[in-house]
Formats: sequence, C-alpha cells, structure tokens
Amino acid sequence: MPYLIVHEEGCIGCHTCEMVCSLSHEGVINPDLSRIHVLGYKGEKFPVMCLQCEDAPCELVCPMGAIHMQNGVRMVDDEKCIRCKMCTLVCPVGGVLYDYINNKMIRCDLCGGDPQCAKYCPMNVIEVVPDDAVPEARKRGVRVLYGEAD
Amino acid sequence: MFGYAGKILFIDLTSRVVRTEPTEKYAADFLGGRGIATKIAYDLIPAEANAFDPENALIMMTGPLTGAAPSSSRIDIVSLSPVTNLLGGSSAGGDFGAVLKFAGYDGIVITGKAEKPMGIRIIDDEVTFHDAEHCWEYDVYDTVDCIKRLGREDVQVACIGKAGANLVKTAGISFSKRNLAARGGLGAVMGSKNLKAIAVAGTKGVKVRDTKRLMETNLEIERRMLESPAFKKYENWHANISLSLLKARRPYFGDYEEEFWEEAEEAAKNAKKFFEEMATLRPNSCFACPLRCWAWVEYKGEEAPMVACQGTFPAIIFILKIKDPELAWKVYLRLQREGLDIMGTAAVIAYASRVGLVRLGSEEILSLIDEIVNREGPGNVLAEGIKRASEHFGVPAVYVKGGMESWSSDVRPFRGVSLAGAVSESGSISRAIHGFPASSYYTKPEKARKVAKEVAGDESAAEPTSYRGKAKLVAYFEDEHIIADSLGVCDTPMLSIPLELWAEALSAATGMEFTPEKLHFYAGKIRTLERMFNVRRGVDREKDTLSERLFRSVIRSGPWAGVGIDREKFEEMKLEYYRLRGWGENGIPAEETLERYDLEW
Amino acid sequence: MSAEKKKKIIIDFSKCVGCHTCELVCSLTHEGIVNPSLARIRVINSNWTMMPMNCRHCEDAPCIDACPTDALYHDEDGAVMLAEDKCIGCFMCAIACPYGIPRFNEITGVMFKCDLCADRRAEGKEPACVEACPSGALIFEDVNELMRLLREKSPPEASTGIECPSGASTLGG
Repeated sequence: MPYLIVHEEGCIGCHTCEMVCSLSHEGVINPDLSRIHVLGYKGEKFPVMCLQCEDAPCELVCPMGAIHMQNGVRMVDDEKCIRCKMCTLVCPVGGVLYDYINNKMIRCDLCGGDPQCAKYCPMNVIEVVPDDAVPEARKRGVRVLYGEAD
Repeated sequence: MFGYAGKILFIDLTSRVVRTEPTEKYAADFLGGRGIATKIAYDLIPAEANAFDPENALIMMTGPLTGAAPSSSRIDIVSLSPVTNLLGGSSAGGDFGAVLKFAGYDGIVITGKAEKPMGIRIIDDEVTFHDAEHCWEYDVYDTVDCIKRLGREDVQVACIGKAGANLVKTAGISFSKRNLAARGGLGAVMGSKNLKAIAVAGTKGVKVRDTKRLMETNLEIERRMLESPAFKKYENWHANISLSLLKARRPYFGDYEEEFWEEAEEAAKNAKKFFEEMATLRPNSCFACPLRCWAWVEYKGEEAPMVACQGTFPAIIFILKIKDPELAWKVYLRLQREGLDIMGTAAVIAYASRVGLVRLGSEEILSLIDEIVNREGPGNVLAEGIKRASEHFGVPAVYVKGGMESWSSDVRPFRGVSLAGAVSESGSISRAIHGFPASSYYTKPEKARKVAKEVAGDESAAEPTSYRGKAKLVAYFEDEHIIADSLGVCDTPMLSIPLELWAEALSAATGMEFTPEKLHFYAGKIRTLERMFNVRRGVDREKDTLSERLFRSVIRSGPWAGVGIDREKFEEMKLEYYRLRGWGENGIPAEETLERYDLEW
Repeated sequence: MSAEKKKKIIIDFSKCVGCHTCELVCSLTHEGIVNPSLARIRVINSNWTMMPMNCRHCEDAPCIDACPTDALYHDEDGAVMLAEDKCIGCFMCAIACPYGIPRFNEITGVMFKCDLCADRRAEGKEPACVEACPSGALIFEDVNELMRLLREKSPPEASTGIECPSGASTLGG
C-alpha cells in the first residue's frame, strides 16, 4: 500500500481534501467527519492525516488490541473497539477521530490504494508514494509540525 | 433536502426572536443564493422603508453548490442599499458560506434593530447573543480576534469595522479579515442594526443526492481549471494585474479626469516591483477553490490579504494616482482594516481632490480616510457617498445608477459597462461585468471576438466603443452572474467552465435535473424579480441612468482621446435591453413576462 | 445530524506532574474524606511518566455489556453511571474493563467508578479533578470538539493584545 506525503509549502488552504474525503467515505460534505484535516499553524495551512506510523502510539495504547496493520494500512477492528477514544488522545497529529453518526473510530484508510485527497488536491500538495520509499519529505513534515524545521 | 442545508435562519434583533424556515419553500422557485435572497427581500422589505430603518432586512444566502463543488464558496448578501436606497447586493467568498451550511443553515435573515451593540454566535443549533459594546469601534482585524477569544477559534466571522459602525456608506461586510462584501454600503446596514459581528461554526455537513456523480463532475471541473492558462497566470497575478489592466485600457484616473495620467505605466511597474521584490506573498484560497486568486501580503511586519482579480490595488494606484507603492500599500491596509469598499472609497477621495480637500498621490489621503471613518470635518460629508457629497459641494461628480460609485473600469469608452451601470438594480457593475469581451479586447482580441460572436452574433460587439450588440452582451453576462451568485459559485471560474458542467454538478448535488437553458430561465426570473423590487420603489427608464457629468465628459488624451458617451445611442441600447428582458418601454416588466416567470406584484 | 457534544475528561499526558491533587479532591467530593484509595481517578506511575487514569466512558462500554444486573448505564451526557442499588459487587465490570477502572468499596459492599461528578454537572460545573488540576493536564471537553479547537489554535505569539476583560460572555474589551 502506498504512503501519503504532504508538501506543506504549496498548500493554499482550500480544504478541497476535506470536502472529497467526507464525500467519498460518508457520502456527505462535512469537514468535521473528514479523515484529513487542514491545520492552521502559525498562519500557515497544511493538511494532516494518519501517517501510518511504524511504532504507532494508537496501536500501543489500545486496551482491546483493536488497532492493527493490515496490508500496510492501520485499521480499526470495529468489533473489538469499545470507542474509549484513547487513540485520539495519544495521536500526535490528530489522525484518529470519532464518527458520531456511525459510532465508530475513523482514520485515513488510503481509500483502498487510490487516495481521493491526492487526486483532487489542486496544488498536488498531497502525494502518493510507494511504501518502500521512506521519503525525506515526510520526515521533514513531521519536523515542521513540531517546530524543529530550519 | 439534498445539496441544501435545509433551513434558513431568521433573527429579529428587536425582539431577539430566532426562528427557522425550510429552504424548500423557496428552492424550487428561486434556486438559492441571490435568487432566494431577492425573493425574501421582496417579501420582507416594505416599499416605503429606508435603508437604515429597522424594517430593512439584511439577507445572507448561500447557494446549493456552496461548499459542494470546486470554487464554490460564495455567500450573497442582499439588502436595501443606503447608497442608492434601492436593492443593494454584494457577494463574498472565503469559508463563511460553506461553514454556515455545515452549521445547518442555507442563509441568515436579519431584521429589526438591537437596542445595544451586539454580536451573534451560531454553533450548530445554538444561537447566542453577545454584548459588543466594548468592541463596537474596533476595526475588522481586532473584532475577529476578539470574537475568537470567546472560546472557539475555529469560527468564521462576518463583521464590520469602525466605518460600518459609523454608518459610512462605503463600508462593506468583512468575512474573517479577508473577503469583503464591499459594494452598496451593506456594512452600514449592519451598523444601523447595531450588529457588530456574526460568528459561525458547524459540524452538521451537507447531504448530496449522488455522491459518485458529484465527485466525477467536480474532478472534471477541477481538471479544466488546472489546465486553463489562467491557472498559471494566477501565480503572479498580484504583480501583473496593474500592467495588464492598463494594457486593456481599462482604468480611469483621479475623479474621472479627461487627461490621461502619463505616469500610469510607471506606477504600474512600481506596483509590479513591490509584489515581486519587496513584499512576500503567501498564496491562499477560499473553500474548495484551486485558483488561489488571493494572497496574504506581508511587508515590513504588516500583513493583509489581497484579492487580485477584483483589481483593488490597481484601483488605489490609478484612481488615487499613487506612484509610490509603499503609500499605496498603506492606503490598502487602512481601507482593508476598516472594511471599506476600496473602489467606492477611492472614488470618493478622488472626488474630494476635485473640491480641494486632498492632494492625490500624497500622504494626505491617509488622514482623509481617518476623517471619513470617524466622520470628522469634511469626512462627515464624504462618508455619505459621492452623490450626496456632490450635492453638498455643488460640484458635479461621476456615479452610476442611484448614486453608486463607479467601478474601477472607465465607464465612458466601455459601452457595455455604462449600460450595466445604468440598468443594474444595485448599480454595482461588478455584479455583471466579469467576462465582458470588451475588457480583454486589447489583450486577447481573438478570444474577445469569439465570445462576442457566440453571445451577440456579431464580432464587432467586442469593440468597447461600439454600441452594437451591447444590450445582448449585458443581458447574457448578467444572467451568468445571477446563476453564479445563486448557485454559490465564484464568477471568474464559473465563466471559464462550460455551464453544462455546473448544471451537472447541481443536478448531482440536489437530485433535481438542471440544464443550462433551465438555469438561464431562472436567471431571467430572478432578474425580473430584482426589477420588480426597484419598480416598486419608483425606478423607471428615467432613473436607469448615469450621472449627468458622464454624458458631457469627453476624454482628451491617451488611448481613448475623443471618446464620450452619446446620449441618444445610450438610450437606444437601454431600449434594446428592456426588449430582451421582456420589459416595457418604460423599463417596467410586461404582464406576459411576469406570467412567463410566474411572478406576481 | 450534528455532533452531539459528549464532554469527557481528557488527559494531556505531557502536562501531568504527578501531584495526586485529582485523587484528593475526587475522594473528598465523593466520599467526604481525603483518601486516595477511594478516589475514582488514580495517577499511575509508569517509569516516572505520570498518567492520571479515570473511566474513559466508552461509547461501547464493555462494563455495561458485562454487568449481569444492568447496574451500569449511559446517562444523557454519555457518562457511564453505576446504580449502587442494583450493583451486587460481582466484579464482572472490573474484569471486563481494559483499564481496570471499577473498584470495590469494602464499606458499602458495591463497586464504585467515576461518574464525571454527576452532582457538579447538574449545577453546570466541571468535574472536581479538572477544576483542581494545577498543571492543566485534565480537560473537560468533547474529544472531537477539542480536536477542532486545536486545529485552528493560534499560537500565543500571534496574539494582537486585544483584551476582553469583561469575560467570556461579551465580545468587547
């Protein structure tokens, strides 16, 4: 499964990704239920979604063992999940959210291999890269997020 | 209800009664946005009311595509304009419209007048009133910061600055610091209602009928936008717009001076240098729009958002004849922070220079802006708008229908613009003008001729000074604008993408089937309803005119030397326009037209 | 359908300094005595990372499923409540709970757990531990709501210095 990386410097803050994400997953236009979110950080805007961490805090903290990697995507087992939302609390990028309509935890599932946000992003800020590339760009994105970038 | 949020929020400030009405009541007949807003204005605002009366209603409406398709973020605001005392309207982009829909409302209708300054906060179903006495005189930026400090930083804010609070008639309504519903003095209407701000945040979302079809249409619209040459142009549009407007021979100088401003090109080049070398630009976009037509401009520690397409910065340098881009930037900051209509205020200041109150191109402009905002000294007269100022000083001024300040394009050589300025109900030329072939006649002549041929059936209609085919062009582009404003789509991308695609997106979102023809039928209907509103207030053929000075003024130098407006030919254009609209010779909609559109007085 | 706000106690692990104030006020509020072993919230020391843990008030709470006498239920605010008159002290909830939150009170003979301070909520107040936490590690907010706020949170240095001294009920300052 491919990864998504974000070239944050090109983002124009148009929220198109949120629109198509909620539209394709939930069938409604509601940025609140989008799995990708445009953050406002020190006046800059850029999208953030689940980064499919290798040593994922959400997986470590889940008391039910409901979160696991499946074909390179971290999935939530709705049967096991008790919706305690601990994963939301520990995720450093806000990648896991509670869907209050369908009563389940939602997170980026890479649209089964064809991420719609990347397809619709007008500035090509969101890029799909193969999973064997652990790109420098993504590491940089995380550093920017924590204010350590150049 | 699909595509729409489903409810319209009615707030009466006098009694503080909040109620909702289903959008369904209006949607099938008037589409949305500008259409529904006009209908509500027609029903609610009495024919004898004045703009600052509590009976006046301030109506903000989104369209069915707002937040659901690319470049669709618009919210349309309709009210009785204090400038003309006729139907006023303006639209704005940004995130406010989309977020309002996500909160569950297609629009807000505000009536009455609050006892004391107040703000309204809407978070989903929760509508609360807040005392705004302390921040009543804050400018737009401080107001937004203050409201965010109420506890929700993610709210979108519609507010007025000090100018709106002081009922300055060129004040607009500012949306979250950046987008401005500028024209028609709607900010003063908000001020007269003692309403400082409306903040909104929402989590409800909008349901659509056919997800797959909508997504496919959206992708196609977006693809076409990204492939159009304009998309690349937008990247450095801020730097180039002044020069390209000059090349298109569009600006006027000072208070509609007859002489060409010889230093115009130098000023435009200075502006280009300012954006390319001195300031830093951070491109940005409204909700779901790929175009990034506006940017946060930062210069020497101060920051302001600037939309290139409306030509606000060029208006400052050309109308106020400012060669120094730093001064132009200061003027821009001041006007933007106070939420003033830049073109209107620039026209008023240029007029003030004619009566000797200010020297154009100098620092004096800044202090005059302060005087207008605070209504001190001569500023108190100028704050009443250009028409009333000219009555006060006894020196004739240039304005279009009902006293509205002219747009940034010179009215004299552009026949279509002059016709639009006279017949349009709000006097706001910008509600009709985008896409006119004459605007690009000197930059892209082939394209201009092609559009003229397609719309008016005559290539020569593209020539600015020709009177032929202009009525048809104005009617057509007015319709396109009405469709855009009613659907919630932005004018500029709307015109460059085939209407079929927008109709397709609308059908997918709402589940009702639309075709371009059907949309044009709606546009004609809404246009006639707008006319009915003004006819009820005494508008007829005689009132559909421009200020007297425009007919007497003949340009003496520059590319337009020798050009003026011929009154007889102008009247002929008007008659042709009325015929196309199905209105009588006096400009009053004929009975059969009303029947065709199923409208009643 | 809009987000129904279900405020829960959210923990900011990075802020907890391990002072156990929450335990003190919790037992004081619920039992009238200062006794951390009767507190509904407990600060866990995991290799000197201090973690206050109280009931997560899960949407699909396993304790509710496990209770044989239906003593556990969701109230209208989404809190998982325990009806003491129904509880038989069978420990099933404690076994089902992945965090081991419900505990047994030797004096009353029934289980006890965090009820998000039901009495204080009725008065419109925050739970006692949230109010008392000196380091701001406990936040009483709906989790989605908090995420929304964080997304747009402007950093302190962007502040323009506009004061709103008249408090949260007014816009002015």
